[in-house]
Amino acid sequence: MTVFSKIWEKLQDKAYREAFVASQLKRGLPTQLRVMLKDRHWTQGDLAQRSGLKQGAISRASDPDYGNLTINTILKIASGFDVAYVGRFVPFSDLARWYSDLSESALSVSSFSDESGFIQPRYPQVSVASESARSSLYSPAVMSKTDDPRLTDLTTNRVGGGMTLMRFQQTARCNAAGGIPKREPMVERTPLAPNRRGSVAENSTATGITPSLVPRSSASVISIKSGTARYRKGTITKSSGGRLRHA
Amino acid sequence: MALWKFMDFHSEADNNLIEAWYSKLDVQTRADFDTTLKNLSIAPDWRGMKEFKHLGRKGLCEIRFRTANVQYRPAGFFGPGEHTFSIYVGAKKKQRVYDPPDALELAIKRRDGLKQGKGSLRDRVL
Repeated sequence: MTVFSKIWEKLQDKAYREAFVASQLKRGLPTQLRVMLKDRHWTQGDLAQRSGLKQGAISRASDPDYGNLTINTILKIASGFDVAYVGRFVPFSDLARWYSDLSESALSVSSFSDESGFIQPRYPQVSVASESARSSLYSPAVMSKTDDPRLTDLTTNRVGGGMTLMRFQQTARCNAAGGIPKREPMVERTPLAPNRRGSVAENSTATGITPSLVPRSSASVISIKSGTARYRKGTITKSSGGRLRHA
Repeated sequence: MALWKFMDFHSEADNNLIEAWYSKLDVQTRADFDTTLKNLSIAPDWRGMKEFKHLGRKGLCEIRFRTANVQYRPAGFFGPGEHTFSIYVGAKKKQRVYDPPDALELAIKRRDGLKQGKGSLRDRVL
């Protein structure tokens, strides 16, 4: 039987639950106080001096049989250690888990000054280091490789390194602006202009692909009917061999 | 993680005599006993702890806690092996009198009997 299952079995009894909570609170705090004094190599007198309490008060607080500590005394002791004291309601499963995993190291608490040396803010500001990392990510060396038009594949719209052309253009724009590229949709939808026959033709630039890089045939198609494709200039018809023929 | 483990003395008839004593305690005393053992189990060094006293009689020691102004004194010995404490008798103490009155002698007697194969020790899950 595990420690957790054993204590959980005992906690089924409401009277035991109440007694257990009282015992954990009244005996747990002196135990932690003793561990923290030992960690710091402090005497009860040292803590008393820092807490603004009498040594007798610390002695009573260290006594697991005392059990009559006031919240004000606890707060003064917390101040002496320069740590936080948090009293809150928790479900019994949390208490049982805490009890099962209890160790002396779990009771050790660093003072504010000890922990502030290495704790980072939760939401760090953009630092010089992160600016540097961003610059190296979009360094000229990287861009010169992908900027080479010979590496551009018009069929797949991919450039060197597997980057899509549109993504490449976005990256280049953002890099020129000195900012981190934002995620954008791969196809920007722009208002579609109706043509003379009521059908619509997509603006080729709406795909983010430079017109000069787009194959002419696809750029000039305005409508396709069965067997016949209409172009801006001339008509292309389907030959008997199935090939398209420009008229 | 607990550094120490506790063991209960079982009689020749395989009755857990410590659990039998424990089950007759009131609920607050049981909770305090559990918490006291738990706090001892995580402490590397018991010297100087208020919850423990070495009595000096053949290595006899007692675990100490007070509930509702009653002093409880379950007694036992270190071992078998390292980081193990075996409880041989459950007791309480009023002024200088133990209850049961022969609690300390009983603990020694049980330990001596165990060496002759009378009774056994089993792990106590905290």
